[in-house]
Amino acid sequence: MKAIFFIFFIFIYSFQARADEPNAWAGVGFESWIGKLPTQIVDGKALKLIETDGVKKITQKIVPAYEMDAINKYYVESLVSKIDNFIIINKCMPHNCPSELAMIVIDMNSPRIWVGLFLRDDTHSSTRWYSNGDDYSVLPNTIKQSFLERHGD
Amino acid sequence: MKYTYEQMATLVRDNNKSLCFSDEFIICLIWKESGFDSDATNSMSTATGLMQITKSAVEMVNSNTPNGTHYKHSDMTDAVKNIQCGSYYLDIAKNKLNGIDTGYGTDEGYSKSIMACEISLKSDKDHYMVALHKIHK
Repeated sequence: MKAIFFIFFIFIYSFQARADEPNAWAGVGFESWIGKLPTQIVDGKALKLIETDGVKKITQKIVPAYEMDAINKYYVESLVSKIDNFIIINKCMPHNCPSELAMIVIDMNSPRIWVGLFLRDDTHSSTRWYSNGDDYSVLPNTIKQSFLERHGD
Repeated sequence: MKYTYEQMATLVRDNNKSLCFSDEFIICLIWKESGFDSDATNSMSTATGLMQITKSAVEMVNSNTPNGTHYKHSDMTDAVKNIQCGSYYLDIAKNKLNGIDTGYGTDEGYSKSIMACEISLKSDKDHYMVALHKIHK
């Protein structure tokens, strides 16, 4: 019985770990999303790029739940784009797009993700970046500039 | 496509069909709705493009504008058609839907920051970013 549990555990562990491996990452098929909206309706169901297995696993780890709740309300979306080897997803709040927004940056070559958020209201503004890799400062300048332009630079 | 302020100002100047709202007002509204991104699409509704035009708004424009004026919702990611249709719709919302706060936006405060932006933009076009930063809740 113990042996069966052990084999089952190894099977589950290897399956879960797979999403963190570069080869599995490449299999997510990011290229196919470029030029499309990050939410696609397939057979009546919403298919979201940020909810694909590997991406969701990482964002859930690095982004606080209250920030994820906000991102999930950012229904206004731009077409998925590619800058260098990074996939870019832009989302913002309906009727308040430049003042409540998120940019999700996915490294196509390895399982690294950056999530940038911006908020502005009457009394304050804030910018937050979350990542499972290096600080956002390592991202290409074109990506950082694009984020700034989204909220008005 | 993400437009610059200068590109947007030209597009609005050439395509604003509204008799009630200034070019500056529409620039500020577009910034609020889509951040000047003509591909912006709401995943939970049919709101599409620069002015986030819905299917019902397109239908209303088609049935309330001069003969020969006709738009398709599938064209609303086209910046020119979106601004034309959206600016027609603004007048309809103002005159037939109890104003744009509820006819276009979500609540009574919807247009407040747009008007603040409009006033700022009219008084100082050179520093347009100061005006655009007035767009928030």
